[in-house]
Amino acid sequence: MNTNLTENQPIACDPNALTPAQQEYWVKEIVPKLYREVLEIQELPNGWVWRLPSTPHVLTLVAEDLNMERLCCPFVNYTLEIEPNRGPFWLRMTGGEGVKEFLKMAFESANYFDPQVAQAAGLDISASPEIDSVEAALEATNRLNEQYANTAVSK
Amino acid sequence: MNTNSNEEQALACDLTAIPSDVREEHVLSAPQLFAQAQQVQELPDGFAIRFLNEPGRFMAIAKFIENERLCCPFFNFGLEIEPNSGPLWLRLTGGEGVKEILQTTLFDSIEDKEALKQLIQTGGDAHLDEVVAQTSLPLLKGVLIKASSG
Repeated sequence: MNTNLTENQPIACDPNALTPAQQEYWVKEIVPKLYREVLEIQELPNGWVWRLPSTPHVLTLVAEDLNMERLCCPFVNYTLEIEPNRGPFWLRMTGGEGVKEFLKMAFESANYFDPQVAQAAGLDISASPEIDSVEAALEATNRLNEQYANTAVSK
Repeated sequence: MNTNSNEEQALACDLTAIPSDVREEHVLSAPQLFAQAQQVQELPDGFAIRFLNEPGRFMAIAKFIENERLCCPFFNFGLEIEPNSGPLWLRLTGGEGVKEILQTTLFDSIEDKEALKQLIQTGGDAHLDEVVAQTSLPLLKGVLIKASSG
């Protein structure tokens, strides 16, 4: 279904694509609550997929999150699949070359996930910082962008 | 990824499964949402509908899904955001019989009021029956179907 080329698009998130009010809301009200709901993380050839409980609360969290993710990290292809008969939600995040690697770094850049869920997916969040303010989130995003850029350059 | 069988689910939409305070709003807002569709692709088990990625559109589609999945639990919903401000795709699919229901509600006119009541059930709410009857079905009248394997 994807008709929009991702090649030659920079792989870096830009929190300044959001207003300060959106940043505050996202960092404090959406991301921590959504990440805690993730039941399972699976690796895909070109990205990752999360399994989430099929509750109205989670659907609202996902919608609010993606509404901002698509502005901040527009190089990612997001697909939410809702199975019939109250089956689980699946949130796929995929993309072209480098996107999967960037997302892994992003997942490991904060300690939002349930540690057991992260560990089962091979993610190491044991030393990841707690992000509890917009300032901390902006710093973490800068570190993430630099980390990925350095990795990409070294290849 | 679909792990939930729906083969024995009755194929009728039950509006009473939607919270009563947003039931009528859902019925009235669906035609407004689908009127913004740009393109429809036929899929083997349903349809994919493309929307411009405009402010407010994503949340409007998510709101539609939030209620529609309660009302028509046999649908499989997919909402895709293409990268770099690309379009949004709403996929409506399902098991046996679901594509036919989609065909009816999205593209065909339903002249028979009793058939409409069977398909979209209101629990005997005469006012809601009237709202449904006056809703501009089919939802995608005039939107081009472009068959594609993509």
